[in-house]
This record gives sequence, structure tokens and C-alpha cells, in this order.
Amino acid sequence: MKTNEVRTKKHIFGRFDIWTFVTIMGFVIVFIFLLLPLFNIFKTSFISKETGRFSLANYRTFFSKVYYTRAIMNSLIVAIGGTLGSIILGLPLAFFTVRFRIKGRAILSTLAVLSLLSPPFIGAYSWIIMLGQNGFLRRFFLTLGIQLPKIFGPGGIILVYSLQYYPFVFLLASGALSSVDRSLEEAAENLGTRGIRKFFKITLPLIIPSVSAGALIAFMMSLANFGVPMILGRNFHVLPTMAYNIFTSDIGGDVGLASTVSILLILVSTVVLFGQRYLATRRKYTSNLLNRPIVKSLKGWANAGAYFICYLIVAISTLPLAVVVVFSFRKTSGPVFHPGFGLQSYAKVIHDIPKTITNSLTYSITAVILIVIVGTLIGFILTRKSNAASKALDSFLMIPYIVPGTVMGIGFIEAFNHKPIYLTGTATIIIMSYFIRRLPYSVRSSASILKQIDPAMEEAAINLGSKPASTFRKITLPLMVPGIISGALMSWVTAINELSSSIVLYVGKTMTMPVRIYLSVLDGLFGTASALATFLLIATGIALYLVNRFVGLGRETIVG
Amino acid sequence: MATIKLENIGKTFPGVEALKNINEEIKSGEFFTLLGPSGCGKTTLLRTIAGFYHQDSGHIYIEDKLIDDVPAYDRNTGMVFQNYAVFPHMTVFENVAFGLKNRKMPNDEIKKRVAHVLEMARLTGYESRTPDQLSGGQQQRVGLARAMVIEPKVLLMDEPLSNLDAKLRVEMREEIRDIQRELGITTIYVTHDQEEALVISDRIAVMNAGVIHQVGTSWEIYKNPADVFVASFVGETNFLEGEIRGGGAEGVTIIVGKQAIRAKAPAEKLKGKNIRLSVRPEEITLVKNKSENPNSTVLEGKVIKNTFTGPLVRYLVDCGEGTHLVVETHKPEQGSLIEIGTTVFLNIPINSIQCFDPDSGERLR
Repeated sequence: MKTNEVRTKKHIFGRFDIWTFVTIMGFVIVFIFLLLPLFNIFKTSFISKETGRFSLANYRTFFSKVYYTRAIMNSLIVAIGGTLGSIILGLPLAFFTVRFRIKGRAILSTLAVLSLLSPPFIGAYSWIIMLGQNGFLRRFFLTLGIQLPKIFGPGGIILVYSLQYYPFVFLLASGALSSVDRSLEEAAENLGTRGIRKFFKITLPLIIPSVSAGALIAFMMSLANFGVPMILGRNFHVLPTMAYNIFTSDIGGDVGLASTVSILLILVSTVVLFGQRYLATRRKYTSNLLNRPIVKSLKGWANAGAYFICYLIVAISTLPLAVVVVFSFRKTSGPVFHPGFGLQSYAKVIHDIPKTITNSLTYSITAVILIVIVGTLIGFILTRKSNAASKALDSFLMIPYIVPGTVMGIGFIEAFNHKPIYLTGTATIIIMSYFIRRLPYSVRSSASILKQIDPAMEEAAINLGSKPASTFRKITLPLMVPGIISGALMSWVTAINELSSSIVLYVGKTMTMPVRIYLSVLDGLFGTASALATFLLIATGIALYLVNRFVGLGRETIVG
Repeated sequence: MATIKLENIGKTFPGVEALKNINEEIKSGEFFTLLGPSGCGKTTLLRTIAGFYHQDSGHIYIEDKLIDDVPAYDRNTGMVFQNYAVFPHMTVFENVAFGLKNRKMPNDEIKKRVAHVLEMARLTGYESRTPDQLSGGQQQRVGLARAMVIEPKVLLMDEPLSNLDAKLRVEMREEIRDIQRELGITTIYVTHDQEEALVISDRIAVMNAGVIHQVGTSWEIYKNPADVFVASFVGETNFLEGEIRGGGAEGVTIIVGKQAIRAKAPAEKLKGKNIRLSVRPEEITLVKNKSENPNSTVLEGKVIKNTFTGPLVRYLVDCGEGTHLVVETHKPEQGSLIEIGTTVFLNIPINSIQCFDPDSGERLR
């Protein structure tokens, strides 16, 4: 008995190794950079501006004015609109490219991913260039006697969201469609169900879980987006823009009310996320990877129709990016474009605001290095050292999925503008906001890579005399490298394109490219905005190319 | 080359007692197999010896040295895994050299030893291949070479053949047996395949629910099972239940349904009690008529199923009162299958029948 007790004690002590340290570090990070900011927002939302005491005054103010409550409705309208649009564009594209022989499938899919990963606000202002009051497409159609609908307001926002987020539905639905067991559809045909009816009765129900997962991501992204409604909304406010406007108002920001709006925004996201989870767990189908569907060749009009639809969807979603690149090379003087081409916009950017470029690069690269190190280590404990503590950490790391960037920015300001941690106006605060928002994706991706590495591999190394730390270095890490690199590149793309929290956190000297683009658009400096946006697009394109080289642009890589 | 001693080993996982008081000594150079259905604790025991699990109670000795507190990386055991666990980012050479490098061996020596072991595993010429260029059988040979090159005190094999196809499995088990004999290395081999265990082992431990039911040579385990579990798990057998009527030292009479069967069992102790009989299908022979014979019982029955498997013919015979017996024979008596519905006579030698207590499952001798 006694020897047993001694051994148990020794065992517990023996387990205090590097991984215990990693777990503790994980909790410290989550506590400081996630829970503390959110707790500050929560607390502030219940503090009255007048008395400084606990009260429901902020909530009362919010719910007593239609001006505020309408933002909830508006948010839901554009988010649902964006989601429906994503399904309408993404589902047919997935069906046609997976089930029918469409040439150039790889190009279509790469362009869709490129438009997905480019910053949405670039798409938004590109549509202003095309369809604004003086937009070239609008003028062109007017010469044909067609008056196009206006781009400002909910319609324009939904258009941009749909064209931005449809690749989520496309990627997830493609995966599901290509793994539906062929014999199920054949059985339906054998029983006399064909064509459209077969699609709606058999195929669609089978891929609903994947489509709804893609739709959920589109919804959450649309709900949280800040840049697009800010640029296209005019007087149409949604929750993130409302929170931002109240927080940074010229006539003295109302932190309490901004916090209240933030809490409501988190609440809406949470309800939707858990709603989808609940629905998704009730429908789960296992797929058979051996009996994949046949790719059919279409003929005649049907073939032309399928090609037309696929290429049209991708062309329209890529059009804004092309327009931006073209306009970055237009001759300008100040806000005015002149006929012909030139490099004035680039000269101006490099001469006037080189700092935003270096800022963006240093912040995003620093954040990615942190994300990769911490994400890989935490991913390891989640899969290999699973216990109550690591499970708790995993749950906490769900939080960033439901907290929009604007809210995170407000939380960071509230938490870190006083002692003991004073970070307002520093580069650190922006880097840490990138870090914490992207960390969960990196943790998930490194955990999923690890799940594919047989633990027997590590045991074999230990059995051959290699100690735990050297086993991790010689066996586990090398096997994880391709996954880690692609995860790092994806994180870098989102970090360098990030607007919604850096717009809250930046000061003059820490301005980043996305912030500068946004401000330039507000000032009507489309030339500068286009040149900077082209930089971002090139960066995104290079990252995508590298990801493709390392692991391929699969749906797991993009959706996470 | 080493002995292994397991002393009162116990291990509990949440909700399952995986190992219950295991005691066993494995001799130096012995090929010792842990055989049992999945979840019986055989892999847990192997992994405990390797040091991947730590027993809750009891002690493990290798070469009479207590190794309870020796970490897995210092136990000097060579393990071969079910799914090969060949490092995919290393060549065959690097895989095999891995353990030697951990032991800080000079490069010349490493090259020499790797070359030698690769030759033994018939992998010469494959040094610079990567695992994805190898077949399953070749990968497992790399796994075997990698485990043997470090000259471990014991070789631990966790179902090393179960991922290979049937034909290769038969080839590889011969190879493993030959190499093990040649090196004389103490080996513990885990499998759920009873045929594999019978063919390859010096001794077998049959396990179920965390307990060793019987340890013995293949012959002993098959011909002389210690209890109902071993009789049913190793090989195929017919079970019959009946009541002991009487008899003496030369045999007892047991009433099964309406038939009387003679077997050897302690008659005095068990008179009037129920008993379970086991007889292997290949022990029963088909005879022409019901001629009595002091050393066997002849039963009459009707063929209700006939199966031709190539080398064997199997008959399912209904002897009435729900007594069904499987009979296996090598040469069809009449040059062809006996038709369903034909009346046949089954000869069951007294010595081929084993008796068990129907409640405890224990063998009655």
C-alpha cells in the first residue's frame, strides 16, 4: 500500500513537464487577452454613464430608441441576405463543377478562394467605383438606357457579402457532393426518381449538414463584418458599425453604450452558432469514400448553360479585384482619375505612407510567429495530453469565433488602457488582437494535423530510446511542418487584411494598410486605396500560391 | 536475451479492470504469445511491459532486474506495431538507424549493423527508399528490422501481421519465427488470431477479461484446454450439455437428450449433476453402422447441412432433441458429398471428449 502511495505522488510530480507549462501558459494567455477584455465589456455595459454605478441604464437607452434597435434588425437582414446569396451562388457552382465535366475547374476554385480571402472592404469600394453615382458600369448601362439599382444601403451590402462569402458554401458543398455514396443516387434512380426531383429528394438532404456549416460561416462573417457596412451603409447601421460609432464618437464616445451593443452582438452570434450546432448534430451521415459519384459530361445547351453559370459567378466575384488593380494604375491627381495609365498612386503611397506598409508587414509577421508557436503547442496538448484542463482551454478558445473584431478591439481598449497593463496606442495591442483572434484556427489546424499522425509513431521513437522532447523534435514536428506552414500562411493572410479591430486600436503611428485604405476611401482617394489594396491582393495571392505548393487548396485549409 | 517476470500485475482504466493479478515467467529465448479476443487486456499487458502504461500494482522484472520505474525510452525493448509506425519522413536506412543514433553509436558501426539487419529482413537495396514506396509487408519488415537492430533484451510485437493480407500473413509469420529462432531473442507476441498463435509460439497465454486462463504449448492449449473459454476460443468445438447417470473409472455415461454418450469424468462426485461436454469436429468420424465399441460412442443422426471447403467436408448432423454436431472429414467417404437428409452414424472416441463444469466453466478431470 505504502509503495503505491509513494509511486502515485512521484507520478504526479513526474507529470509536471513541459506540457504542464504549456497548459498553464495557455490559460494565462486566454485569461489576459480573451477573458479580461470580454469581462471589461460585460462590466462596462452595466455601468451607468451618469452615476458610475451598476445599472441597466445602457440597456434601457438601447432598447428605448428605434435608432438603436433597428441596428439589430439591420444586422440580421444583411447577414441573412448574405447567407442566402452565398448559398444561391455557392451551391450551383459546387454542383456543376463536381458532378459535370467543367474545364478549368482548378482555376475557378482558385479564383473563388482568392476573392474569399481578399478583404471585403476592398470589394465594397470597388463596387462604388463600378456602380457608385459616377461609376463606370452605371454610366455604361445608362447609355443603353438601363438604370441600375443603387449600391449604397442593404442591397449593396448583401451583394458584396454574397460575392465574398459564397466560396465557403462552395468549398463545403463540393466536398460533400463528391463523397455522397453513388449507390444512394443509383438506388433512387432504380426506384424511379430522376433529375431535379432526385437532387431535391436525395442529394440535397445528404449534403445539408455541410451546406449549413458553410452557410453558418457565411452568416457569422456577415454579422461580424465592419468594413462593408461602414463603406456602403451610409445611414444604414448594423451592430458592429453602431458599436464603433458610439465608441469613437466625436462628441465624446459612450463606452457603456458601445459595450452594451457589443454584448448584444456576441449574444446574437452565440445563439446562431449553437442553433446550427444543435441542428447539425441531429443530421449526420457517414460517407463512403470508395464509391464516389461519376462525373458526367453534358451536351449541347445544358453544357453551355452550366459553363455560363459557373464562369459568370466566378467572374462577377473576381471583377472587383480586377477593377481595383486596374484603377491602381490609372492616372490620378488627388481624388480625380484621368484618362490613361500611370504610376502616380504607387509613387504617392511609397512616398507619403511607407510606414503603413512596414507596419502591416511587421505586425502580421510577428503575430503569425506567435500564433504558430503557441497554436502548435496548444494543439499538441489538446490531442496528445487530453485532460480536464486542456478540454477547458479548448472550450475557451471557442470564444474568438463568436466575438467580432470590432468588439474585440473595444474590449482591448477597455482592458489595456490603464494599469497593470497599459498598451493603448502601441504596436503590441494590434499584434495581440491579431494573435488572439486567429489563435483558435491555428490550434484547431495543428490539432487536426496531429490527429492524422499515428501516436504509435511517437511510441516507436520512445521505444527506440528517444526521450519525449527529442521525440517531439525529431518525429512529431517534422510530420506537422506542411500543415503548420499552410496554417501560418492562412493566418498571415487574415492578419494582414484585418480591419475591424485595428480600426479601433490604431493611432497615427501604428496605422496599417487596411486602415489606410478605409480612410482613403472615406476621403475619396481611390488611387491611393487601389494601390494599397493591390499590395494586399498580391500578398494574398503569394500566400495562396505557397499554400497550394505545400498542401493544396483543400476545403480544410480554407475553412479550418 | 533475457527472462521476463510478471508479478501480480494489475491495471485499471476508468470503468475497466484491464489486467487482474497477472503472474507469469517468460523464459530466455522463448516465443511467448498473448492470445485473446479484443479488449482482453493482451495489448495492455504488452504496453505495460514496454513502459507506455504503468501498472497500478505489481512488479515487472527483466533479467531479474526490477524495471517498474525505468522510463519507456530506457527499457531497451524493441517494439513492432500493428500499423507499422514506420517514420514516413525518413528513408528505410534512417528508420532502422534511428535507435542506434539515440544510443550515440559511431557511424561506421551503425552502417554495419543496419546493413546486417536489412539483409536478414530481405530489404537490402531498399536503404534509400521512403516508406510510401514500400508495400505493407515491406514496411512491416522495416518495423521488425528497426526493432531488432538495437539488440533489445526483449522483442514486443503488437499484432504485427493483422494489417497484411492473408497470404502475406502466412509467409511473414514463418519469417518472423525463423529470425526469432536464429537470434534466440525473447519475444512477446500479441494476437487475436488463434491459428497464428498455434503456429508461431513456444508457449501461449490465453487471456480474457484481464485474466490469463491457461498457459501452455500449442498442443496443450488445443488438445487439453483448461476451461470452456479456452476450448471455445482456440479452434472450433461442439458443446453438448447432459446429465451424468453413472459409470466408473473406465468412463461415465452422460445422457444428452435421448442419447447416451460415454466420456471420462469423476463419476462419484458428479452423479446426477449436469455437465458440459466438448468434442472437436475433426475427432468425430463417420462409420457405417451402429456397431458398439468399448472406446467410443456411436450416435445416429441426419445430415442437415453439407459444406465443401476444398481440403475438408463439413457436415451439420441432427442427432435429435436439439443435439446438433459439426463433423469435419478429410476424405468424403463415398467419393462425393453425403446428401442432406441421409442418415449417418457418428463415432465419438471417449478420449476425445472433455468435460467441464457448466457453471464455473472449469475442466473436470
